[in-house]
Order: sequence, then C-alpha cells, then structure tokens
Amino acid sequence: MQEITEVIICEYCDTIHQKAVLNNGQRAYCQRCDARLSIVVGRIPSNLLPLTLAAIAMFLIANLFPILELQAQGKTNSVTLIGALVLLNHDWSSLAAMLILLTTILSPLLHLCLIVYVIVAFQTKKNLPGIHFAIRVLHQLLPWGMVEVFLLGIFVTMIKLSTIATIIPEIAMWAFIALCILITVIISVDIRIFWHIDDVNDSSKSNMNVT
Amino acid sequence: MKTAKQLNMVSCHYCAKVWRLAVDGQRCLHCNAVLHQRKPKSIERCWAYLIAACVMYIPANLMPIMITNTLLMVDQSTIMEGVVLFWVTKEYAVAIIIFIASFVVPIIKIVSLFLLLISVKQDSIFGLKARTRLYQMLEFIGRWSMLDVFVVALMVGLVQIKGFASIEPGLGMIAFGAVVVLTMLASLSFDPKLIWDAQNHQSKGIVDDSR
Repeated sequence: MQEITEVIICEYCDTIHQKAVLNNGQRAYCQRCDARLSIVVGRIPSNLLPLTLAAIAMFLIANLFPILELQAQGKTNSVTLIGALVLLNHDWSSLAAMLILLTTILSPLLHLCLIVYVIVAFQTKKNLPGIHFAIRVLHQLLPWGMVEVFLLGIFVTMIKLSTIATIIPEIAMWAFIALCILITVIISVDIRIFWHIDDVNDSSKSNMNVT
Repeated sequence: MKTAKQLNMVSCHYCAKVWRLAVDGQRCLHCNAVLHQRKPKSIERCWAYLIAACVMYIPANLMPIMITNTLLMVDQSTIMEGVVLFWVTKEYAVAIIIFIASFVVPIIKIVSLFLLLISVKQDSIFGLKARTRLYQMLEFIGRWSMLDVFVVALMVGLVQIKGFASIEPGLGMIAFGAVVVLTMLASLSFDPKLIWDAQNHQSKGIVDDSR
C-alpha cells in the first residue's frame, strides 16, 4: 500500500483529479459529476477557537434557562430543554426523549468540545491522545446535530400556542438563536482541514484544484 | 477520466488521503480509519433501513402525535390534522412549513432512496449527474423532518397547567422520530459512487463531458 499524494478522488463519483493550487476564494468542482471537491489544505482559521468557546457558553445558557414562558388563566409555566425531556422521560416516550437528547444536547456539545480539544492539541503541538479518533468522531457527528431544526421548532411552538395563551420568549431562546448562528459558522470550516495540518509545512498550497 | 477503482486506488472516507494497492479492510496509515473501495454492504443496509422506515411511516401518519387534555375535552391529533388546523385558522405560513417538513420531506426521501437503489440495481446510466444531485439533496434535507418531534416536546413541556390544559406525547411522535432516523441511516449507508459504477460496466469509452 502506497500513498499517492498528487491526486484527489471525488467522493461522489470516484473520479481521479490531479491536484493544483487554488487562489483564495476559488473552489474546485469534479469534472465528471460537478460535486464540490472538498479537500482543504490550510491553517485552522484563527477565529475558530474563540467562536467555539462562545458557542459553548451560548449552549450552556440555552440549556439551563427557560426557552419560553406560557401565561394563561392567571397561571404561568416555563419550559427548559432539559425540563421538557424529563417530562417526556416515561414509558415509551423516553425513546423520543433520548432522540432529542442526542440531536440537540449531546451531539452539538460533543462536537464543540472535540473542536476545542483538537485545536488545543494542534496549537500546543503536544501529542494529545486520541486526536485522530476525535477527528473521526467529528466526521460522524456532523449529520446528527440539529440545533437549527430545534430553533425552527421553538418558533412553530410560539405560533401554535399564541392562539390559546400568551407566549413570552425567554433568555434561552435568544441563546439558541446565537448558538445556531455560531454553529453554522463553525461547521462551515471543513473538518478535513484538521487532517492536513501536517501538510501545510510541506507546501505553501492553500487549496487544490482539478486538472 | 479514470475512476480510482479502475486504477486500484482508494481514498480514505475521513482524511481523503489516496492509497494505491490497498485491500478493503486495511487501515489508513494517516488517520487509522478502515479503508473501503465502496461503503461495505451499502445496498443491503440501505434497503433494510428504507423498508423499516416505510413500515414506521404508517403509524407515524395514522397515530396521534400529541394528545391535548382540556377541561372540556380530550383531543388527539395526527400530523395531518395539525396541518389542517393551522390552515383553517389562517396560519398559512406555519401550515406550509409543517406540511413540508413533516409530510413532503419524508415522502421525497423515501421515494428518492427507492429510485436510487433500483436504478443502481438496474445499472442505469440515465441521469447520472441528476441522481448525484438527488443524493446530495437527501443528505441536506433529511434533518428538517425532526421539526414536529421538537414541537411536540416543547408543547408537552410548556402546556402543563392544572385545571386548564395539559399536553401528552402520542405514539405517532415515536414512529415519526423513527422514520427520520431510519431514512437518515439509509442515506448515510448509500454509496453514491455506485451510481457511477454503471458507466464503467456499460461503456468502454467514457465520454469526456468537459465543462
């Protein structure tokens, strides 16, 4: 088994392309199937670590404080994400609680923490354990974080209940909006960049292109 | 254009390094992930998840997704009843959002996966690019069907007012969550490179459709 460094392979149609240097802002597309070729060589954006730390702070606010408050018949009731899961956690509906736990709490939190771990590992140049495993887990987690879908769910709930009661947005809803924006920015950095940190020293290539 | 398979090359699913003369099951020397020419048992696993999703789709639509208890009555509503309720109360935007996320998206996912699986089975070379786009779209839209599961969770958490109204989750919610997870697993296990393999099977000379 030998490594071929001068080519990349399209992950959608298996076509081989020769690497080339791309200018800033240029993108490479597969000649056969038009899919984006997403192999990035470059440095980790310097704002990624602060953005991720900010996202973790927003995540904590979003999960610990009430999202919405309902007022009806002189009574009030507010909901936190964890509180809703606790209410769901009986009999068969605990399955739904687990699914929501995975997609809105565990997956985003693990994702953010692993990004911090990986960046710290690279920046301190220490050989921290399980770094490759951590990046592989990041790849696997990507489809399962659904914070933005949950945010839309909050809005739909507000409208749905506004006909029968007064609904007041609470602090965690604003935190969810901020978290959603931050995660979108964080995810826009291709995780593959972490695999090719070592390559930066070998060449001054900023990206690659098709033949 | 040659494919990697023809030249006996494999690219790592995770770090995208290209290896020559690697045997399926060998590990990537860069990131230690297991290398595969194509995703293992892609078609079989995709069928299994898809059929399971189809089975769960029936209770997801027929069983109540949530149960509303008020002083005067107990109301059980399925997904479509929820959409209709929004429509008749003139909340058209919400009705359309829920209709698309809960009804259109799962149907599109299930039909598209059938289409992809059958066309790969038939070794069809029709619409190769279109089918690749279809697959990319599946990866993108799948998550949005979770909307209704999140809405029910929030409603259950919020509407718990003694002597006024309370909401409980219905079995339809679980079935619906299962449909979303199963269709996501199905599209994750499908390998889009299989679409393009048909071209190598059928035509010797690949037409160069350079852009």
